Amino acid sequence: MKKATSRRPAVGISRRALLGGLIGSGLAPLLARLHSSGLAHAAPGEPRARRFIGVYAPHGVARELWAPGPRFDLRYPDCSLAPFDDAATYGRSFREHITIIEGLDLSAGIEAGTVGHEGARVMLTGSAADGDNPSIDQFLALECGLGASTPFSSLVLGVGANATDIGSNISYQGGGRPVPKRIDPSEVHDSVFGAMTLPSDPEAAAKVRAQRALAKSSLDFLMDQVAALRHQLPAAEAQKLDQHLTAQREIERRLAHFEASCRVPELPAPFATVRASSGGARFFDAITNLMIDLLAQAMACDLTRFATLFLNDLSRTHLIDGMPEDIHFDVSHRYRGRFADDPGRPETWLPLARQNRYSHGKLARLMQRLDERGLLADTLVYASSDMGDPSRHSSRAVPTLVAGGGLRGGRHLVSRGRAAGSNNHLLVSICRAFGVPVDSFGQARDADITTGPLTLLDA
Amino acid sequence: MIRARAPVAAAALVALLGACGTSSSAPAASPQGRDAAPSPAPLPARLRRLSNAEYVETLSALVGFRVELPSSFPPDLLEAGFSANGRQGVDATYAAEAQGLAHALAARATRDRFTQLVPCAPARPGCAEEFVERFERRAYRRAPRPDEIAGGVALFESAAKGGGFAAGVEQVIATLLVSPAVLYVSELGTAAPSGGRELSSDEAASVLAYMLTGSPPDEELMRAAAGGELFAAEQRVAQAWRLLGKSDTRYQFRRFVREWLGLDALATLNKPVADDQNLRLGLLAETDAFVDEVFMYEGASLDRLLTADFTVIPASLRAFEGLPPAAAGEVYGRVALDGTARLGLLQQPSFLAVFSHESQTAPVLRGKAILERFLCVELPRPSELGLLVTFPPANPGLTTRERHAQHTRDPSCRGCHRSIDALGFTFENFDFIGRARGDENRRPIDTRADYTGPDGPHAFEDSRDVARWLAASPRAHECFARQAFRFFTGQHDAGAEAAFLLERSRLPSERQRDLFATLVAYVGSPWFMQRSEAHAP
Repeated sequence: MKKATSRRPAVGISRRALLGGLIGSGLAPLLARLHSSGLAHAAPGEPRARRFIGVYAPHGVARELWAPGPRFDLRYPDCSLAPFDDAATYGRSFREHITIIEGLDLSAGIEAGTVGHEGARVMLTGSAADGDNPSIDQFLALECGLGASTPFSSLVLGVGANATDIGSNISYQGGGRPVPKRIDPSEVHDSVFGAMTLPSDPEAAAKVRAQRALAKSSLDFLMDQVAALRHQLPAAEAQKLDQHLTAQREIERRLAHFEASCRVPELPAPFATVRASSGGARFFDAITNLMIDLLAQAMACDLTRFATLFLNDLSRTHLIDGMPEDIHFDVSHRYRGRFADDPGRPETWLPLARQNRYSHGKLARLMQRLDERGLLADTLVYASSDMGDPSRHSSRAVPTLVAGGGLRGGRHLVSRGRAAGSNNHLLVSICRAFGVPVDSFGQARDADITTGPLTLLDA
Repeated sequence: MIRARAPVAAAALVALLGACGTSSSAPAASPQGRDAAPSPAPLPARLRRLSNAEYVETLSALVGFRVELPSSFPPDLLEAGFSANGRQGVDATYAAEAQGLAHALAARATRDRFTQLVPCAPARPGCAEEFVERFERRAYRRAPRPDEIAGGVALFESAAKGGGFAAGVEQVIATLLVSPAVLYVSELGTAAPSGGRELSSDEAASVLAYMLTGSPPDEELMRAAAGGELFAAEQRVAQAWRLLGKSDTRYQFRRFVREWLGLDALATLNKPVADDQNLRLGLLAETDAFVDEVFMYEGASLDRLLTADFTVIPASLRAFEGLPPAAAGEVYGRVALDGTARLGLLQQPSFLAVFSHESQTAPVLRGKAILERFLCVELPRPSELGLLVTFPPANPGLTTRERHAQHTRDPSCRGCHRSIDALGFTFENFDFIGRARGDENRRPIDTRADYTGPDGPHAFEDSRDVARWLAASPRAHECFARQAFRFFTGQHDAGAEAAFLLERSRLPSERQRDLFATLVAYVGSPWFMQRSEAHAP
């Protein structure tokens, strides 16, 4: 079985950072300070990335209709990447903005047997089922403190279900604890924007201020209690209350935060249900669009700088005309791609490519919304999946798209070779784009899997 | 189709395949995995955040009306399928949701239950202190210290000076409902004279109450704790039997069965049938009612759960399960299963539907559930054996069983799948949502199987034989006790589990299969009070 003890540390900080004494509980604030002073940069210059959005769409791709054509052509017939070069629909082309990476494996998962749908867990953690390091969004936001100046250190959004089992989650805090997803746009609207703004009517505003003063005294009381309890605990248990205190500090920030200049989006009409299990599938398209719009606006208001979005399985959603009822089984499972000597069955590629194009359309919408708010350049978007070839439930060659945050776009990169192809290297590169000087990310027995950046990206 | 990924180290592969349950005595097939059996040891000292179900019961008890969590409330983080565990924590999402809920509940409680919550006339001097002391005692599940009362009164004043007495009450309630003393159950203990650590009497009361009832301690248990009575084993035993006799305790045993078998998944699975959601919830309700009936009237044992020849079913589901119509006016009824292919828990649609794919049966999932959940066999994943699994192509001319033939043809799969699939095939006469069926794709269903594996070999006619075989298996009964230990103590510690089994083994043999007797024996043992120093401050 998997031996956690033989694993390398989850995150390797570079020697320069070690010299600064960053190991241990003081890591987060110190790193944040170094970050803001520019001392911790792996490369000279200011960090190029300021915000991060991880987007997950299940079930891999039809590779044959996903790989860009010659000269980065995204518009050849049936290409699933076409939405990124569709100015008529999305305001402009994002062809020069995105980089498509082929051949990355979820190697830490493969090594430990966390494959198939469970690959979702590996995407942002670079670790298998028994890993205990945070995902990159939570690492940057909480452990490095880069989310500490906004009322929401991160937003973890999803569509259709908020289960936290291994195949349903991409965001994790330290200790391997999944961060639950928010799946109701109305709830996101209310909790993120509702509490952040003051009514213009002076009387109503005074009332809100009074309520917040009471909430603050309540919170102070609770923080004292948690701090007192923490002193009585053994180290392993104290970590729980450290997490609790961090959560309370975040709520404290929300109580202190008023954003006068921020435009609050219209309150979306509540959906009858947002859950797949109670017939919510018919609203998934509208829910996904709202989540994207709310997320972009939350970033524009600087309410958060770190987010993940977990898109749902499209099976039985009727969102794409002419597709079978059970997309999961009749499209994803029946896909037969080219594999070694097997030429595959081209008639199975198009249905899967249409499903992929739908997801890419949502990513293009996200880029459009970020662009409209002037956030496109410094928001690093990382989109991927649990699988490459869905009929094989394979965690090899997972489709990977990165954009923004200083990464040069308009490129089609192909990664080859086992260690060269682990997505951990991409996670290392992303950390460095934020000015966080890590040498490795995630956990694996084989240090080659977790160590070093994705050099391909710098070529 | 399954193919080997690469030439793996042959010895390792053979070792793992051999480990796949060919012999029940093989170390690999032991519940602790592939290590030697651990020595009995005390539980580690810890702080445990309440599960969502426990929090609901706790809030309901404190405000005096039935509380429901909003749908946006974060779901439980499960450990090995169980919601009570040491991994649950308070992150920003949880903290914000819990505080939002606490505010809403406090406003309602202050409005609707003021006289029950405030034991004195507000104008009377000292009334605020009295209210705070009383509410803190119930919330903290122990007597509050003087400084805690003073802190609560200051909190009260922070709101009362602007908003009056009721505002003070509301502020105290809204705050204390998310106090760490409410959210966490303390099992830290204090240093014991004999070495190690021992729970305080107050801690013992909370641990006992959440263990057996999933709720905070009631008045009588709090009183016994305040008097130090719970240090005496016979007092703990008496309290345990009293709690087990309470009617509401059945909710905790329903939860045990749901979490042990993973049945809660049914609430969120999609099944392509008419009125899917109501049907699924009805099937869960059937299992709940069945578990109540068995544990209350038949005895709390695995063999009664597996071999009861009746179900307790909502009238609306009788036709779905092929049972005769209900008498007029019946809502739920106990119905004999004579003449059906069903027997006990395993042939209930809830179990059969959870261990299925969305619209197809899943012999592998069903077989795996039997081995893992009933026999505590730890199965390796194919990828751990270097096997790359791909799905067999759909073939409308074959049955599910026929499509699985690859598993038993391919030598690299056969080691595990001859055990897993044989068990799974016995259930093939039930479809993806547990309806009985005689054929599939116009080909007849075959439920007979020759099983090799732990507690085998055995020849089964259909899954009722599997139920009878498990009911007679000491290994299955021990596994049931292990699962109960994990659920009821919320611990996943091998040494502590060994201690639990040791106490069970001291019972007369006919009592060892009784879940209530096993739990009470543990409560009466020193292990219940002891905690290990290793994790202590």
